[in-house]
Amino acid sequence: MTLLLKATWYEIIKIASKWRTYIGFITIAVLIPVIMFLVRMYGFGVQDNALNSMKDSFMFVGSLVNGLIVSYFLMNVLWVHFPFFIVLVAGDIVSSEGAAGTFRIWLTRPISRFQVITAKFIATFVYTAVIVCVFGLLSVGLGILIVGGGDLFVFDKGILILSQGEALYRFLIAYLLAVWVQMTVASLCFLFSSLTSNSVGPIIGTYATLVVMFILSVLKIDALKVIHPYLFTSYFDVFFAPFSDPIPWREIAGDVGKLGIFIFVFYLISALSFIRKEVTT
Amino acid sequence: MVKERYNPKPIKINPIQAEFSDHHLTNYAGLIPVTDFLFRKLDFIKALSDHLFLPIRSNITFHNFQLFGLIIFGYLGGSTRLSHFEELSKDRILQRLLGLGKPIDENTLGRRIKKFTFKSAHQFSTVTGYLQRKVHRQYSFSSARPQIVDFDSSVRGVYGSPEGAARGFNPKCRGQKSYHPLLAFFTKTKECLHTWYRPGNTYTGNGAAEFFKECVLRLPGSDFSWLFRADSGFFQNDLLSAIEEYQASYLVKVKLRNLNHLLSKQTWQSIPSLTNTEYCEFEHQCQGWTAPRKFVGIRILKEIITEGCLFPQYIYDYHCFVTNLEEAPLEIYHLYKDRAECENWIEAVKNQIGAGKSTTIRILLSLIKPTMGEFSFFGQDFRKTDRNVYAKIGALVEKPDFYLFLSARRNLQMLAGLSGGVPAKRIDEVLEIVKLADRADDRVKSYSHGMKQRLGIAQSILNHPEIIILDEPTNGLDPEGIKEIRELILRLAGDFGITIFLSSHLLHEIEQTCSHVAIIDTGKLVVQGNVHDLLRKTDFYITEVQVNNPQRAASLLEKETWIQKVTLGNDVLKIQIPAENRPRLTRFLVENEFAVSSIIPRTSLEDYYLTLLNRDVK
Repeated sequence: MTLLLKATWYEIIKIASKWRTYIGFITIAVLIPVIMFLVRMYGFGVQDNALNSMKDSFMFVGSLVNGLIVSYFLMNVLWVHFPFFIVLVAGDIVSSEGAAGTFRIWLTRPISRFQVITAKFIATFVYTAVIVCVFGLLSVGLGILIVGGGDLFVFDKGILILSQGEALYRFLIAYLLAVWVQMTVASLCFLFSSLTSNSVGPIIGTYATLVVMFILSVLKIDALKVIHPYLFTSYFDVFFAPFSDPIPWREIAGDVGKLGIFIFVFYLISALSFIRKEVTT
Repeated sequence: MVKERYNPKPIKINPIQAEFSDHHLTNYAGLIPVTDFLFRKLDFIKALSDHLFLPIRSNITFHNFQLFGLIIFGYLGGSTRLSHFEELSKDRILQRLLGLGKPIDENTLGRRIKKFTFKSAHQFSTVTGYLQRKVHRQYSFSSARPQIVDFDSSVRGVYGSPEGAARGFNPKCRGQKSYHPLLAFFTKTKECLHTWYRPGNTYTGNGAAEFFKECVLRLPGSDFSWLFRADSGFFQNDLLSAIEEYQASYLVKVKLRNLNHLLSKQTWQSIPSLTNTEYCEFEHQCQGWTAPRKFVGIRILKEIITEGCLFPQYIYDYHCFVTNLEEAPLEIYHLYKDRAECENWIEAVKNQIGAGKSTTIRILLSLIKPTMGEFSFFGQDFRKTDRNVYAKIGALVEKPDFYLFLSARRNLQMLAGLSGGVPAKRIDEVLEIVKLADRADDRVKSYSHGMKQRLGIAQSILNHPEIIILDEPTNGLDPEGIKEIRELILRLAGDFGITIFLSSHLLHEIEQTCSHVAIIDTGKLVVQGNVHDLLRKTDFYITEVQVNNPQRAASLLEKETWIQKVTLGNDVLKIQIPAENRPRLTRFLVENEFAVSSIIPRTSLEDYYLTLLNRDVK
């Protein structure tokens, strides 16, 4: 256990020592303040977009735009765009070492292959969690700071108005779920990474899989409904579930469990593949 | 993507004058004549330019002849891995020989090799065929006897899932993925005439007729008669018909379901000179054949069982061949038996890749799993060995691959942590031992190969191991680097009392470094023991003699029966004689009025190795 913890810590050090790790953080750190400033200056566009479907039935007085609603809209990048930052690291974590031959030295130590792959998986999870949390903190925090706080209006199957305190609580749950969703992407990329010896393949492979699965899961064709439960992208919207009233805990638990099965299966295949992996050439 | 038409004009290859003075020898000087042969006499660059078109960009940094030249030189120097070739390309003399502006890194080399499609492989085969024909023009053969080409196939098991590997019949490891290459050897010159690399699930004789047709194009001239010899895997109508069409001879072992029945029906005739051997000759037409062919059978009596039998039972070894040769059956049988030599070449070709040193070390370190056999570590069976036992071992497997983006200290800290905890002070100690203390905080990226190798040794001694396993630690190092590593190894063994298990093909290095040696050939342990004891026990000695007229001395000594072998090189006579005959040699030289400058007995491990494996002494 101690060895596993040490190996995990070293994996985190390795991730932190690579330039590519910071691409995601730098992008988020630059993009979010820019968006928030733009919204503060030209916020009505977002408001119009949100109220478009409601303006025939309701009359709104004053501005509904605040940092929370912008953060809520920003969560949409978690679908397809954000996974890029995840695969950038997850795609490299096993394959690059396979190509560089560094496993040879590690595996002459008392550590087992299973511990090595598990340490890498945990480190990937840590990176995923950190980058999603940084995204959430910056998005919500800078939103409140730059655009301003207030109640959160959620327009989905009606209108849900959440007080700022309640909204922050919902954001917390949403981002925890987003970590889990992104971890599914990371584990798929991790699997591809353990099967190849370069990091480009896993990145492209994961993205291609993600896009194809999204297309299949959004198409409302009866024939495709049969396969929807087997596509992990069908459960990706779970991080929007906390913005319903009441929070559908049962549905969330179901989706989290299903995503957990995907994560576990991807990890298991990665581990089995790594145990048999040729590391000597 | 464009087809690159190689234009060698921009590359200027400067001729190098090798220096062979007493004090200085140009590094890799032996490659100068090879380069001359390859580029000037064979015109390798033109051959590649005319026949090989890889789907690569036109703005490539390295030309194909430079890459393939490096691979050829690398193989000549014993390199088998891309990283070795990269190291070799860092040598300035080699860079000048190949006209390289900078070293070729292993990724570039790997990428170019990956461009090889089936079509490119075929094109490359045309290049080798073209070069072979150029060499063959220099041959002179006797036309009295047919020149023999042996066909055979071999199975090479692989780990992982390399491209083209497939599960098939693999006698050494059932179920393992493998390749099943097809090979043709030219007996006269012991050259591999042609090869096909096929997946492991291919049957031996698949495509043999087409393979034969390609071989024919590579034969050195059509003025001679040819005999194609093959085992029962090649017993097929298509191949035999193709050979007949070429009007060549064949000798192929028969493989038939009803062969025993067929042979039992024949009339066997005895051979007067051999009491236990009989033969038969007959014609037989197998299913699908358009005409019958000549079969020759030989049976050798193994034993006669009389006990418990009403009549004595004769147990024979049967051999049956299909052939169009006119020779006597016994001669045909012996001609086929000579084919065993071909099998040895195939083994040699396969095992040139490795005698089994690195594989042994990888198995010991559980980097790969053994397919059979067993070993124990510190008295524990390897299957039951706890991984904690590896805390007692330090290892460096081939290339020292560290995290280049981290400092040496950080790399060592990680490995120390994984070794079960090593005090921080120890990291400074080992860095001091390998003389890297002043560069400890620099990124490994900035290290030379020799420094990385020393860092590799540093990591292997981090946890005060009882044994250090080093796999070819001097690989790719310049002479100074080799000396440094040798001294370091001797210091570790001498000052710190660590047992060092070292693998190398540099026997001179082994002799200078090790107290005990185990020689592995083609995966088998040939001999092991104390180096000095082994050399003392052997009755094989080389004596180096310097006299005033070495040519005359050599011609006189060659006539003496008590001298086993005499060779003359650089005015030094190398005489192979038993130790007890050395005084006689001195007397002989003095009596024949030679002015003897020196008589130095020399028994090197290299000589011992070559004698042991029946290879020629240089």
